[in-house]
Amino acid sequence: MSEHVSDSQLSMLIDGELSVAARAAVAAHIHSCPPCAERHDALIAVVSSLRLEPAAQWQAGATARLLGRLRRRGHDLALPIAAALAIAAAVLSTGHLVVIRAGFTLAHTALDTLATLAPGHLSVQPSATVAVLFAVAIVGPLLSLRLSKWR
Amino acid sequence: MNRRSILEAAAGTPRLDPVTRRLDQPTTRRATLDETVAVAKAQRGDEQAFAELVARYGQPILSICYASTLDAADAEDLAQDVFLAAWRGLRRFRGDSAFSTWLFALARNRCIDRSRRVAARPRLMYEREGDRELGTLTSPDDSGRRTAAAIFAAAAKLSLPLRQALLLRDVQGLSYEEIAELQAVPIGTVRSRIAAARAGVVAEVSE
Repeated sequence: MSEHVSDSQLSMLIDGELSVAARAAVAAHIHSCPPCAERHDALIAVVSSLRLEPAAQWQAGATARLLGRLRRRGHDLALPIAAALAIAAAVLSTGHLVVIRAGFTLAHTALDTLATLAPGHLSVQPSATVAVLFAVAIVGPLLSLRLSKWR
Repeated sequence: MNRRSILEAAAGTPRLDPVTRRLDQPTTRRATLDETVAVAKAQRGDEQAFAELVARYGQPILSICYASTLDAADAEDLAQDVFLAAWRGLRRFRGDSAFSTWLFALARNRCIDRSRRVAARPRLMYEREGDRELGTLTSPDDSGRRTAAAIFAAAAKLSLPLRQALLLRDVQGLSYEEIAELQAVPIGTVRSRIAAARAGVVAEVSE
């Protein structure tokens, strides 16, 4: 054995990880070497104090709380998704009405209104309007999902 | 209470016989379970199946989280975050490794992320119950609590891997093999980490 026992040997001695022969050799050295005996005692003091501390225990209530959080996350997502889908359905329906020019005055009025609202009074194609609104209806729920994950 | 007397006070606590006494704290035990079926069900959104996995792995996950945070309340919050992340990411688990390997890696990464954001704030378990502040020494219990608090404060200064190994071994009572699995390192590395951590704590409280 070298002049002094290593921290690793002392640690393994405390944990009962040394072989019988190694344990005897280390113990014999400790008894005859005051500095190593002091290091050994200091380690024992630290380990003893730590082992008196109660261990953190996973309780059944923790599992129930976790499930509660899972379900709340699901509810948090459901409302914005449902709202976005409803809006998308309404927009698509309106878009179809606009496209199908079958004597619906409302559709023509909507088109005229959109045309006057557009910058420079450019004519607004109903298919382009539907495409833009459809894109918003798709991106909206995706953004909602992404933002929820960031919470 | 000077730091030197901390060790002297600790020496008065019940001593372990290093030759004859082995660690007898309960280590994590895993119930018999068809894990593959449970994981597959959980991937399809079965919350009850996921709850079974949580019940099985809650203790080791909480152990590594507590060994990282040194605070029981923070540890439970972190463990819950780990399981929530596991629930969200479960569909990406392809079964290339054991579910425990995947879950433990997730937990390690969360502990690392947290340690980068927040320094460990050691708070002993009994301090949560509104114990009186540690003031002047009035009873042997106070001496022990001061000692434990000083040791935890020293452990908080260790690097995360050393701190985890130390707490997992000496507080949570895990075996070297269990710690090696949680930290995904060889057993020899676990031994080295524990030895270095204990020596580091001794050096800190002896200054």
